[in-house]
Amino acid sequence: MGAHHILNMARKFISAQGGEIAPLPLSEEELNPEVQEDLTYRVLHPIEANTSCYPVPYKFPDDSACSAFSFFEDGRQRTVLIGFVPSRIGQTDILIPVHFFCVASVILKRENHELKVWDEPIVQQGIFVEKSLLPKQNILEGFEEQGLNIVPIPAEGGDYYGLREKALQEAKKQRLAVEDLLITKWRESLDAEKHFLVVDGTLMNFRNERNVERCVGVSKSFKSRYFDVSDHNRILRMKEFERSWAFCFHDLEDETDDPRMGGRNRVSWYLRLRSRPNTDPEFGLVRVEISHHYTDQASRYANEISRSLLSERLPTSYPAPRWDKHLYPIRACENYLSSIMPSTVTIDASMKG
Amino acid sequence: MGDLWSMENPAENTQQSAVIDSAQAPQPGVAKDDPQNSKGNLQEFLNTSYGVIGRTVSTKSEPNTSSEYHFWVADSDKAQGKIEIGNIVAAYSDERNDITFGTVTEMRSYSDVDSFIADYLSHNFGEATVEVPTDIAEVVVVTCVVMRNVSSKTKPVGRSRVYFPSILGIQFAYGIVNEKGESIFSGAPIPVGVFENGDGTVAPISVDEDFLIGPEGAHLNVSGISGLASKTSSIEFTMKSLLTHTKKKVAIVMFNIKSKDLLYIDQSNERIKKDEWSGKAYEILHIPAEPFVKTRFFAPISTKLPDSTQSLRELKSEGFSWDLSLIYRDIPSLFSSFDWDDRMEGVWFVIQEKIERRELITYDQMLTWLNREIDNANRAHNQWISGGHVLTWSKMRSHLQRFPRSYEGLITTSGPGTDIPWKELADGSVYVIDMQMLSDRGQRLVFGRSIRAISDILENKEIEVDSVVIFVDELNKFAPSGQERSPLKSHLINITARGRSLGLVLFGAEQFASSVDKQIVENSSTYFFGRTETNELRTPNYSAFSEEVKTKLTMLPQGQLLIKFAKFPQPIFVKFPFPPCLPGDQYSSEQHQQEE
Repeated sequence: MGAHHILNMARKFISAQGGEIAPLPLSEEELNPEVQEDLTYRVLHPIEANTSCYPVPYKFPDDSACSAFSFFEDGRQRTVLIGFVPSRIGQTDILIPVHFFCVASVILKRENHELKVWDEPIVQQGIFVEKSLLPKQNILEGFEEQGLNIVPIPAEGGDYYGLREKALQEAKKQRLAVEDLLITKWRESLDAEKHFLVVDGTLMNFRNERNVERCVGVSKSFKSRYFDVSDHNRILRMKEFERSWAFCFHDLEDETDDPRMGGRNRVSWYLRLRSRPNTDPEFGLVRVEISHHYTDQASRYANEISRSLLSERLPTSYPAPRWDKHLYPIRACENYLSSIMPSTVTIDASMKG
Repeated sequence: MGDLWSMENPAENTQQSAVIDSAQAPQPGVAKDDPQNSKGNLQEFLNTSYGVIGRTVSTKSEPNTSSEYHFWVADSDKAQGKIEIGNIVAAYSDERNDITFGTVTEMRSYSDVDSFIADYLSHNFGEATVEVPTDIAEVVVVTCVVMRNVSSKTKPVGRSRVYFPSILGIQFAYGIVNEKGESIFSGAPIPVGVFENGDGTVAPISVDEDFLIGPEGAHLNVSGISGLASKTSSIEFTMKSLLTHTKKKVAIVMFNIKSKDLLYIDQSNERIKKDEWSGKAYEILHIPAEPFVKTRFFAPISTKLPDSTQSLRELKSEGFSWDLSLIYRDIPSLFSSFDWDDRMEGVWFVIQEKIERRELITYDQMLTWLNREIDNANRAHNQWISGGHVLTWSKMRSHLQRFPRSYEGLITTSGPGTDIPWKELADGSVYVIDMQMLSDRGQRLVFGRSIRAISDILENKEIEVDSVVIFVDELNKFAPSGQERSPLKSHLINITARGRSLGLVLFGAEQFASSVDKQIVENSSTYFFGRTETNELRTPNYSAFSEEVKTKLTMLPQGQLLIKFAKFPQPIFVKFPFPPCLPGDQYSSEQHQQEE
């Protein structure tokens, strides 16, 4: 079902609930840029000596096209406030925000230097609304039967701002779900037997350890410091083609989480993709993650994966923001997903009719 | 990488964390259905077996309009590298209710590189030899000018899949046939070549007889640089096609103005047999690959050899030599513009009046009379003769005395002349007037005298033909551009403006269209453009063509032309075969004797 149709139904839904169509020209993601994801991670232990950084066995320009990666994954989400429904429960007047959302994930496969969509992307669209607060409960089922995907926001109370924040969180959950679904599909394919999948961002969001075993996460943003100031400054002063010592870390949440889910331990290291004079210490710096499954051979994997990642630094995605850390195929994933998701302009225009 | 990249524990299909059924999710991939499954017969306009070659695209800054649309080229071997400027494509609407045909006028290659500096950075800050693992995404965007659509509604092209059209589609796009494939011309379709599209589809291209030789429109103009054998060959081929397919009675008069160009049009061209493509083209277009028949060759008589002509043709030719009564009206064309002024014209009027009163019958009589008049005036110390100064009369006499020597054989000074038998022109007749041996002024005399004679017999309905087609190369010699007016130029302008009602049709050729009088060029309903120089393309004659079309014109190979026809919505690049007759420079008398 196309976005236009869903938006059309959403418009009717809001009207039927006695609400008002009031689309915002910006998405919640644009209004609230994602917070850094690795603030609560804790380093368990360094796997390699942290007294110095390590040169990656990468010779430029001979190795400039040596990447062994062929698969790249990214997901995107777009959550836009499209209206609100006034409701009164008991003596409480409530304003319920209604969001249109679209989440999608894609894997690109590289063959003969060209990127193509692997299998099919997964796209999920619908609306977020706190169902239980809606005044006309009897019409919900009818809209759902017509194909409107109404995803409830699990919220407490009727705080307008709280509900909007929950919508954003739910979008992330949905996005991770479609990403996880696609990665699972890929991992179950023959392609996964001889390849790693390069994933944009941290792998900590993925719980499926078997998936993670075949993934390499590349984070572009990190503001946490896992080591003492001196060691961390050594990382910030790494030269081009150098990597940090590999270390093992996990999420603090895991310590209190349901132990049956398994601990999310990852092997990680920093890598300097490029450096130029007069640039900030994080210029070209990424953090790489792989599964703890490779802890025993961490040095070997860190070297080989870093070598391929260094090869992926070209071509650049300039002038994209953070182009210095971008991997071109990941950028291509983002561009692809942007092209298949309805833009805020389309959403705004569709809602206004 | 070896084992490092291999899965140590092959996946077991144990975990299924399906949150969403991807099968239910929207599929943004390629639509599964195609026009072969759709209702109606729109698919007959498309080469569906070749497949989709792209999709229309409209952006904020470059929207599709009712006159122009854009599409990107699909990433397939059948699309990439196959489309070129001048191809015809068909945009099949996603609603499956319309097809919009367009001709490719511009192709641009885009990449996602934002700036030159971005690409410089992508090569590690300027290392030109560096190899990258991923090719930068590139897309070829094609701009098409709308030709015609099936719905006949003027509207912008919406989201559509783009195909190459079928033969029917191509001919429909050019307004040659209706949707059933039936000709919609009012006159007979006259094939002018074949169009080869990017997918290899070959479609015969015809023009409407009623617009080529009248009465709706008329005249053909061919321009292009010399040496590529496109101009003469294409006209010979078109004339053969015309004589084959016309429903009218048509005669042709050609003027051979240089070398042996047209002197062996009655001889077969062996190259057609050797060139498979040419043979096939004649077959497709239903034109016999045979030389012209009913031909007659004329040239000024030879003054050295009795019963022979000055023609370079080694086979039979007939002589002509004009006496005063036949050419007196054309004598002014033998003067240069510097010599011909009002005073000379005044003197000539006096002489012309005497000729028309039949007081002067032969050229010699005219010269004798002139001598006598001037001598009498001199003896009487009279400076004026019939209002003209005696010096002007003397100047006139010296020119008139020189002409018979300058145009030996062409002008008979005594006795009756021999004219070209214009009244014997009949349906299918082909006359070739060889005048290559004459100077430019002599050629102007012959050409001017001939078209006047043909005009007269057509006007007086003295021959049983509907049209006489006149072909002359180097038209700029007879009707140059600019303000300068000559009787011949005025007559040619008159022919192109009104000749079609008489049945007089001009097929003219020249290197540069800009060098021919604007009115003559603009009055033509059909244009052939061969390879053209860049400087020439900057002139207003080519302003309707896109820069890409102009670029293609500068590189056009032999045997290809851009055709602009009054009824075509857009110009079309066509290929034509070797001419049906022997190019003059390839004639060998020995070979001819052997064949005989």
